[in-house]
Amino acid sequence: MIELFKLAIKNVGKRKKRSALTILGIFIGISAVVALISLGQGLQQTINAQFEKVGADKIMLQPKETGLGDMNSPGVFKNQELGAVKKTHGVQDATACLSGAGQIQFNNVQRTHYIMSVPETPEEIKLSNSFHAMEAETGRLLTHKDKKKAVIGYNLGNKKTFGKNIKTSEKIIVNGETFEVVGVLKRIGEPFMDNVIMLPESDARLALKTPNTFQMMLVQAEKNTNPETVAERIEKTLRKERHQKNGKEDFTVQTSTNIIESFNKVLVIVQVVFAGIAAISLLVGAIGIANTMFTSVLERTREIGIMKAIGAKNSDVLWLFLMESGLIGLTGGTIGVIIGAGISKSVELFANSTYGTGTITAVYPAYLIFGALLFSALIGTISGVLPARRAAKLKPVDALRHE
Amino acid sequence: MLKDHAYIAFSSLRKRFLRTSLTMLGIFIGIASVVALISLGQGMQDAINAQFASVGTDKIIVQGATGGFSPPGQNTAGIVDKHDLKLVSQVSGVKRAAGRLFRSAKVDYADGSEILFTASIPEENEGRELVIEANNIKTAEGRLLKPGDRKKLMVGNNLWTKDKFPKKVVIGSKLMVNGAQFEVVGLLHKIGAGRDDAIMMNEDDARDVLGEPEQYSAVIAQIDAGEIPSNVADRILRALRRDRHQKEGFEDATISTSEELINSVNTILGVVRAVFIGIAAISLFVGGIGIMNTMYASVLERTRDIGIMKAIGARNSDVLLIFLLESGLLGAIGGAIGVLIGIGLSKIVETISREALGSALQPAFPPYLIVGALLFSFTIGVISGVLPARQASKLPPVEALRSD
Repeated sequence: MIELFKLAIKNVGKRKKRSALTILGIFIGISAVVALISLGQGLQQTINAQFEKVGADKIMLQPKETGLGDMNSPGVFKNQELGAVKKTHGVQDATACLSGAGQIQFNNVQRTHYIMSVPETPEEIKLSNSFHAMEAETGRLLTHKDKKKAVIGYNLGNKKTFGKNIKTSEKIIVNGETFEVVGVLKRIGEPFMDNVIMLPESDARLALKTPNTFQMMLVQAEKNTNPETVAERIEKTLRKERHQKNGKEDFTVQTSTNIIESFNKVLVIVQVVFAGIAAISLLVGAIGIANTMFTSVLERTREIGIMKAIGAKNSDVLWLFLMESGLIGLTGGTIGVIIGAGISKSVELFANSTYGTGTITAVYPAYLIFGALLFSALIGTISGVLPARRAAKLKPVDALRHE
Repeated sequence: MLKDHAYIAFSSLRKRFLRTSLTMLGIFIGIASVVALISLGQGMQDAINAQFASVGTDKIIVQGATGGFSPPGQNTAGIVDKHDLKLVSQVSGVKRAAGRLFRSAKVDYADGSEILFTASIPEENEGRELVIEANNIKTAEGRLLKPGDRKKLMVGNNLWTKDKFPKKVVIGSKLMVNGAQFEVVGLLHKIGAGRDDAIMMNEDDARDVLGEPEQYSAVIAQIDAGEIPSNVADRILRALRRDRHQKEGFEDATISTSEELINSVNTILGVVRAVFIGIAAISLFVGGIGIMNTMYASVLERTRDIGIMKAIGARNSDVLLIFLLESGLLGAIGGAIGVLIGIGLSKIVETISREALGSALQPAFPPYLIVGALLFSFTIGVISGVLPARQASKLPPVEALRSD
């Protein structure tokens, strides 16, 4: 067996140009697939890490809407509904926030940005901060004592949205009122949160002219309860509050697990589509291997005849050719994995230097690397099956006569 | 002369049938996927353009300043209202203007309850005509709303063709909108762009049930023939600025022309298409490498042939031409099969999308696509053949004859 393997390596090495071209065909395909998957996986991991920070015990309530982002849809929440949710069995704490577009002025430039409210008790602030995974990059987050203070999203402090970066202790004008910036958020990677202006709730109500409704409720479930069950109970509480029948609610209740699952589903589909299209080139590369092997069988007909004449079995010849094609696949795969990893790493570096750190991270899970290597060896071997069988079945006499 | 060359190229391809067909397989898979993706992308773009064509390039949309990621008229910082509508319609170059109110409303019907997109239709005739024309609103059954209709509404295509509610919505159905009862008078044809899930009612009714006395979500203006949209848009912005005592750059309204909208949609679509086709084109590249490989093998096998050809007087250029024709032929035949299969693939996608979504994604096969794909695959073949063909043409006849 080892002898056969050595022979296979020698044969691949002898026809350098042809082997190199065949390997080229495979490694282009493998590198495209590896690059796309490693970037897709990286994206998925970033999102999952974000959700891990939020925690599985969070529940989010939103008004049902038509998918047009209407923030005045009929299902918005009232103050007493927040009270009712807080009293629901299994709810540790709950909070609510409102949001809407506002006109922001700074450095003599005016832009429209989204405003989001921060609740005004320490417990609710803690819940809201952990739900949005908010951390201050510079300065601090808002506290319940703050009035006329603002915390701004990452882009406003780093991307010169207003011609220059807004720093802490500088003043901005929000819908005509002056606010002092006390903190800039760390990058979250979501356009809404990275461009947001956070204001204390009472200030946000004035700025958005929304006296008594909320656009979102956030709930933390008690320890040792199943968030799904708590979510169902909350739904029932609100339904009763609003006199709505089951299935006729104008609001939705989602646990953080629900949300991440639907996110992941979309991401997986996108990855499959991209990798699928890239895999077409692998198929083409595999055909290239089969072609090379057929040519090889043809060229070496005489050689095969001699091998058989001096006692090689059919299975020996079969193995020799299968090893050769597998080797071509594996070599192509190895180069492909290296180049693919390089491509996704450069995409990562490029994206992070252009759009800020943490935009996308290329990840290389072991299964991707080993999977790609195994897959390429397998592709090589499978493409070699037909040519190898043809070689194995050659009659020694005919093969010897051939020139 | 060229005929002879072509004949030799063709017959040598035929002789190595297995290898030739494997090489062509490589090319046609690549061409097929590229053709299918382009034709589907083109079809999608055509559909979107057709939708915009009914809007026309002479429309301007005025709305409150937007934060960048929300649809028209939602969550804007500034607002537009009845006063602004009057202002816009008086700007020189504006032929007519209409205000529209868009909100979500809770709609109950036959034990079902949905939150639906609710759009207003202007009360006065001029604005009403503009809205109906710009949105291509047509009834499949029943009638359009008339001025003075009270508590009547028209429903979008999906609401009566798909099972949105437990009971079918028909002419005369009574729907509760935010608690007020409305009667369906018109069932609409497909419009697209989210409007197929909408209900439409006269403006006064909409203001009643949505509790919105003054504001509009958007004001749409049609410009006079011969005016340039961006000039009129500038004039409208200036008029708004003056009216609101705002400095330049500090406006709280966003003005977009329908031309800009079309362009931005097409740009996004173009990027998406380029990415897909780029990835698919990798397989074409790999297929090209396959051709090169086949040609090298072919040169090697026929070293002796080449020697004989040269010995009986073939010039280097003849040998070069024969091999280039051979590789070009490989590409072109692979391309032709690829085009056919690609067309088939996108037809299959069309059928599936019709079955699954009810509306078909109509692929388009413009001549440039088919001719381009054929030409491209021929070129790929020729280019991949250049190196092997040159190697063949440069073989010294004596050594070539000696090889076995």
